[in-house]
Amino acid sequence: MTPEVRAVFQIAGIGFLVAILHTILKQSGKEEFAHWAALAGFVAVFIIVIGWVDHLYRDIETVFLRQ
Amino acid sequence: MLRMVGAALLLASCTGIGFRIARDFRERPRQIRAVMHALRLLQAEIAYSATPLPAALRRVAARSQPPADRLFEAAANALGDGEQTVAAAFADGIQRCRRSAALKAYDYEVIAEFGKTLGASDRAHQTQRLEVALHELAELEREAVESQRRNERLCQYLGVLAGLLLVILLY
Repeated sequence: MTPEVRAVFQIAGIGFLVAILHTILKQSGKEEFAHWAALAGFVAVFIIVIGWVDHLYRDIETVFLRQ
Repeated sequence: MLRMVGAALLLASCTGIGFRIARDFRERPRQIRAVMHALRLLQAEIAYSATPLPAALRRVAARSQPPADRLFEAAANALGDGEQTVAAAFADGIQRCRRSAALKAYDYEVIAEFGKTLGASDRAHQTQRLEVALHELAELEREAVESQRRNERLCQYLGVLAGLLLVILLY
């Protein structure tokens, strides 16, 4: 598995788990925790995505600017 | 290969922690009931057979379920050593069972409060105090059942999900 594909699956897995977590927390009446969990999942995914966007810009830089 | 083993260990430990916390929620109502049962036995000992307190505590300990048996056993032992008041002996028993039981601090507070009045007055007054303690424990038991209903399953799920999340994040 290449790192890119791994990242996609990782993000998908986090989304899946956070969705379950949100449902469970909401069912047991802890709605504010459910929102915090969703936010935490969002932040985690965001950090991963920022890493890859950084990667992308570096690649573009090497292709177009450093010839 | 090593990765898989690490992921499995992480998942197993997180699941274990979740189930351990859930067990405390499940055990607390049962343990409160055990203490209530033991207090009723003690009431019978005080009201009908007027047993001396160390012997009464020992007999109650022999007939009750954990963690009440440990509490009363330790209290009886502390009382049997002499030199200690009943309240101190009860506090000793509470300390002894605090390590293993799933009870909360305010559960112990009720028991300790009752222990302070035990052996300090006549039979009628003690019976009255026992009724008060039983009433408070019944209240706490209802609250514990409610908290079990809300939190037991949740803690199990949270443990498993936290394990899965960590595995995914670190894999």
